[in-house]
Amino acid sequence: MPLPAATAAKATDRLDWPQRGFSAWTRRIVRAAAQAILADEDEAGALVPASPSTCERAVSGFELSVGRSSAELRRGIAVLSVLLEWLPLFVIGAPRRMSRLPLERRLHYFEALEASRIGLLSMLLVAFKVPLAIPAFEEAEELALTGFDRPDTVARRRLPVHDGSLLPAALPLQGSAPVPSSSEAEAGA
Amino acid sequence: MSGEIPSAEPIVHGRDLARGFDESCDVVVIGSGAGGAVVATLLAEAGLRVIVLEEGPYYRPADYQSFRPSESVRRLFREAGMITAFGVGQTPIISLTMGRAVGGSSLLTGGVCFRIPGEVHHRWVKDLGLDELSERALDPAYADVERRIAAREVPAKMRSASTSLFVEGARRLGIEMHPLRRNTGDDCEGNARCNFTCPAGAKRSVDVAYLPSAVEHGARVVSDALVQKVLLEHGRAAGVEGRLLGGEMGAPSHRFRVRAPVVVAACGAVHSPLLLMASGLGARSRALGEQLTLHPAVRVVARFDEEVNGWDGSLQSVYSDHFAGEGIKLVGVYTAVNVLAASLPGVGPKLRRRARDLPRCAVFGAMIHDEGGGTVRLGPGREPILTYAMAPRDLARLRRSITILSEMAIAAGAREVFTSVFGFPALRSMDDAVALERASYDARRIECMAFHPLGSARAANDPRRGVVDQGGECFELPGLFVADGSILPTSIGVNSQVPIMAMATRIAWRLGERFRRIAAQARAASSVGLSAL
Repeated sequence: MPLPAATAAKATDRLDWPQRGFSAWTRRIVRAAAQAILADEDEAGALVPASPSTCERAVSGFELSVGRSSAELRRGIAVLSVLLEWLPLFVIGAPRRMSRLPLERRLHYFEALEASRIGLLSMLLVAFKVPLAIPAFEEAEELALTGFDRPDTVARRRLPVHDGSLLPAALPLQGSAPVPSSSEAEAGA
Repeated sequence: MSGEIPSAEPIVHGRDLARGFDESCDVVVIGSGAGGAVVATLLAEAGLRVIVLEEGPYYRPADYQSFRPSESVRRLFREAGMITAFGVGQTPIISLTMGRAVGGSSLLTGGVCFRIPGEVHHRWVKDLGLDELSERALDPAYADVERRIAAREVPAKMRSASTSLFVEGARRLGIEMHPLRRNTGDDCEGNARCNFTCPAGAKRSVDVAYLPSAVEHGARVVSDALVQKVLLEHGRAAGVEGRLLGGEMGAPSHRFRVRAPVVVAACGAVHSPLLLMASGLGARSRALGEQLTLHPAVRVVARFDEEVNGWDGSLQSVYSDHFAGEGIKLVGVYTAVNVLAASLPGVGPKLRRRARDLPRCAVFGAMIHDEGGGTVRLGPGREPILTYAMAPRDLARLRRSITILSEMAIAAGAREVFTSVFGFPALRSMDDAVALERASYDARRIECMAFHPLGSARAANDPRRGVVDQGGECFELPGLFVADGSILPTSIGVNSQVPIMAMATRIAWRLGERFRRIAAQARAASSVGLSAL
């Protein structure tokens, strides 16, 4: 039975219970970002967007995280989404919103953010890339791609005794002369 | 609100309660992490009636051991791991990891156990006059903590190949590495995802090492309980009040009050100052919320030709103090594979190509013993505004750390090294590493993390210089104690879990001895107040 409107005080902070964290507009922006950040290439080397299932996993994971966080964080992500959507003109000279750029241009935009000399622009990318990529690489084809040799990220493994034999064969045996650091090499020059 | 906690369970899910409560006890503890769980347990064992109020949810170990990393992030990490300290000036934007659940940040540590270095204790005594916080004074507390959490040196056979490669690279450069201790007893299986909980249950977080004893001795723990204010009566702390979280959507939050002559704030170095500020404290000393230290940290990912499979082995097993004189501590690290993939440089196909190389990648980290420069301020909502102004010397140390880690990797035979600096190509030689350190670039291009916020309500022997005395009692409000990382007077340069627990142990022991006197003082103050009416 619903509480009477007069007595039902609306919770102001969704830290109180699990919730979805994005508006429809923000979700669309984040999904467009996920398609590019997690894009792949086909056998011919052509760029293809991340699969719908990968995108959904990434976006849903990010959204659930934001939904369980504070109102301040949710507002912050919304503001960052606006910036992500409207900055292509200033970053790569493309007079279009990010979500409307072709995939290749979108990818170019994100690469430009990452390589930007302005650190805040790099961090703008990180603010979306990391929370999307963590759920994306946690399952399915993306987890398999990492070469992780357990069925999932919760699976336990008992470590065999490690006697140094796992070191690459290219390394000389222990006891050889240490390699000088660059500063030592310079001092000796 | 009225009456007792409406549940017979010793650990209560606050979100499931049908109404609020108005309780009284001897000691109310706010926070159930490294500080709060220790204080609650020791005082309960001493026979006191203790109630612990934890803002976060409660998950049993059997629950969280099966969380995937993304589930751990959104259920156990405050702000789902997205807390940042905004850099002021040439300062990286620093990502902070803090827990928000019964057990606090102890659920999310790598389990590393260090005591505060002797030279730091010496400085506290000699320069700050904190003679009660000497190494000798804290020795019994350290010993008790280390026993309870089963601190053990990580044997060499548990080192991952990732760590071993860096150890070999360090050896070639004349850098000594040492085994470190962790709170896993002899039970670590080498699953290498400790920061997202231990699937083997080997890590002795405080919910495992302490709270069961607290509950056995009659303590009550209420999760989903947000304390909003410390109650003041007759010039003393008299309890707390707040509201329960996670109730039915749209329904009013149930409120609670817990009255006690002793209140212990253990919400962490970011939220204890917030609570004190919200309770009207901090005006007398300008130290509250100031000089937050973080131990800013960086890591490198190095790709080798051979398979490394760094996820097999202890997450952390070695450290080096070779550069301690420069304020740099090297510490072996790894992380869950999907989290590592997410942190690799590149987007799109480049990111995927690098993720495919993860079986051949090794990771190592460094943290700096920072001078401080962080502040905690009340924000518009529940979360604070965190800022951090990195001292130029600390920034130089951070950049030097990246060079050292890169050189170790190259010395070990790495083909390329991905550093924490965005937008720079992978390093392939010692010259590349030096060139990066010398390059001029915006400090905010450095991906920087922090796991040990400290010092924002520091202990001092003078109320003008600190917030609490050496016994943890708030100068401004008798009866209010702080027992978490916020009271450490300076950065300590080592992982903070054991130091926080040792400080909390000492505070609890003293409180146990003094409680009768404190309670009598509270009653006397109350009588004077009543008779004045």
